[in-house]
Amino acid sequence: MMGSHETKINEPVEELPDAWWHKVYTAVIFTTIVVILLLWAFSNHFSS
Amino acid sequence: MKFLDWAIVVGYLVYVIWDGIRMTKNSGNVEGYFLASRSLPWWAVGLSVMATQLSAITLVGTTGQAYSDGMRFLQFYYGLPLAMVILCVTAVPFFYRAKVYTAYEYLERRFDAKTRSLTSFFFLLSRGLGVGVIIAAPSVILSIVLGWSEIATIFLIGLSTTIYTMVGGVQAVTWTDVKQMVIIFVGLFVVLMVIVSQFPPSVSLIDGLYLAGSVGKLETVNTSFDLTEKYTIWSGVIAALFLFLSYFGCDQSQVQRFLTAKSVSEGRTSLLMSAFLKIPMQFMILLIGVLVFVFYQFATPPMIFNSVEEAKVEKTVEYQQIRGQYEEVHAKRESAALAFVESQNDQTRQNYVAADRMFNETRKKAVDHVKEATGNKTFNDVNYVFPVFVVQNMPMGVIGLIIAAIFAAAMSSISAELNALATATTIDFYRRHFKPNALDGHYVAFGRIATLVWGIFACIVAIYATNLGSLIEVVNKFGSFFYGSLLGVFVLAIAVKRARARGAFFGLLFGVASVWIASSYTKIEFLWFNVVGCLVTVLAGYLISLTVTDEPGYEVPAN
Repeated sequence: MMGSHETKINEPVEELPDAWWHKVYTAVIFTTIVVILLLWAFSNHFSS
Repeated sequence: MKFLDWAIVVGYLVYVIWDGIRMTKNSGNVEGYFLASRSLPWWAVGLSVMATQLSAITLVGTTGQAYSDGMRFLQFYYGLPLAMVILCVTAVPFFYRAKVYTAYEYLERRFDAKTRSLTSFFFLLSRGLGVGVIIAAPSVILSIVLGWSEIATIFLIGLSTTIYTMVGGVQAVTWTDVKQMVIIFVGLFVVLMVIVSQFPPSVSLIDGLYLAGSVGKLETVNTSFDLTEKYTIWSGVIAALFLFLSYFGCDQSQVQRFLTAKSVSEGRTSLLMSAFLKIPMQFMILLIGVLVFVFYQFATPPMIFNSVEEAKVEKTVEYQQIRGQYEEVHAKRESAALAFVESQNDQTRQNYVAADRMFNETRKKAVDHVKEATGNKTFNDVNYVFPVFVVQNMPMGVIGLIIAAIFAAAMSSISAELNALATATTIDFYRRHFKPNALDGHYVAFGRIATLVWGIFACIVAIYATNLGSLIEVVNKFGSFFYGSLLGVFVLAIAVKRARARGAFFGLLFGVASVWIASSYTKIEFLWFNVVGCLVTVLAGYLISLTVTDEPGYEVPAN
């Protein structure tokens, strides 16, 4: 994978639809909130 | 360092320079040299985005911060995922479809050449100095580990990175970043395992976390809304959000990363990779610092981690007295820690917390004595904690791996910064103002010379940056002087239809001035400078724009 990286120019590029991206953005925000809550729980658990 | 350690470090250096230089074949024209012909896959760009942000300062400075101050620095990154989402919606499609080489190039289309030049100049100034600080951090470490002179080490790191960046352009930067991130991940994982394996047999990882937690080292969420408090959830989610929007969306060293992607979708995915991985990765780095703290509960840590400064005072009577107390309080703390591990109840916990407080007070006395005796009022040995720990306590091979990882972290950031500085110099100044119609080969040659000049300049700055306290804060503080205001200009350009060139130009100047005033006359922490700079720039820019009367038929330029 990392041994050869030839530049491939002018390949046809397909963009993903906006609706798909909106789901991804929602997932990112939701995951971040869950991660912060887990970190908060981690801190509280070991500090008490 | 043993032979194996040396072999790992030298092997890494030779490989990465060779790997970068062999990218020359794909870098003959302007788009190939500066943007990799917009052909790179998302995972390579994503790793490059992370590698550019993760400098040696992150490894050395934040592990040291976690050792002395705990994990509260993690909150700084809580706004990053939201910033990435906002940039995926706005900056990525905007700049990618505008077919620009630099973010500032767009500002000429929207406003005028003056605004483009001023923003690009601020970028060159802040990052030109910032890259010097990035070189300084690993040089401090190696001057301790190898006994080399700091200046020689600065030039070794700075110029070796300059060589492959100069020759291979952005492709060399990106593909070496990928390998450097692999080395960093492996190094971090190995050091984490080794530290835990070196705890006393009766102390588990969980016990260590209880010890650290009882003295507040594991605080990851602080809800205080005190603007003078450095790291809170609000400074992370609000103030750092502005910093990340500006850094990833307006700073050429990051914008150039997603401009090399194959498509808008691949550019977006590369940023979202950071959104998912940055907080866990930073947690792991800070956890290493916390575990170093736990390790030193059962082994006497150096009283002063900077051996050069310690040597200046170690023969004084006062220092010897403090040392005697230090060994005594460490022994008490060790007993209290073992008692707490053995029977975790309120009494043993309180005893341990009290013993740790006494230990910290004694160490503070030693630090204050160094400050007083040497006249160095800003003395701070936090950046020396991790390298000293590695050299004194890691087994053969692991030392070499960590040194290589620190090299990798430094070089991945330096190369991206140098490449971006050269791009802005070539595209925004040389091609725009001095030689607009030359052949591609001419601009590539100029870009290579610009890379070399910036590399040498950064090395000279690094020489002066080695004694500036906690290095990561120095870089962030310095960036905060400009970042918020730069973000403000782009907000005016993209979101404020009534904004005009005069408003953007003077709004930017007002923004930078407001940050200078805030830093000089208030006590608010530096992360909030980004909010101040951005808001003042947008407000001043908008109000000044209202004074502009448009020519008949004027239309706001489309993207």
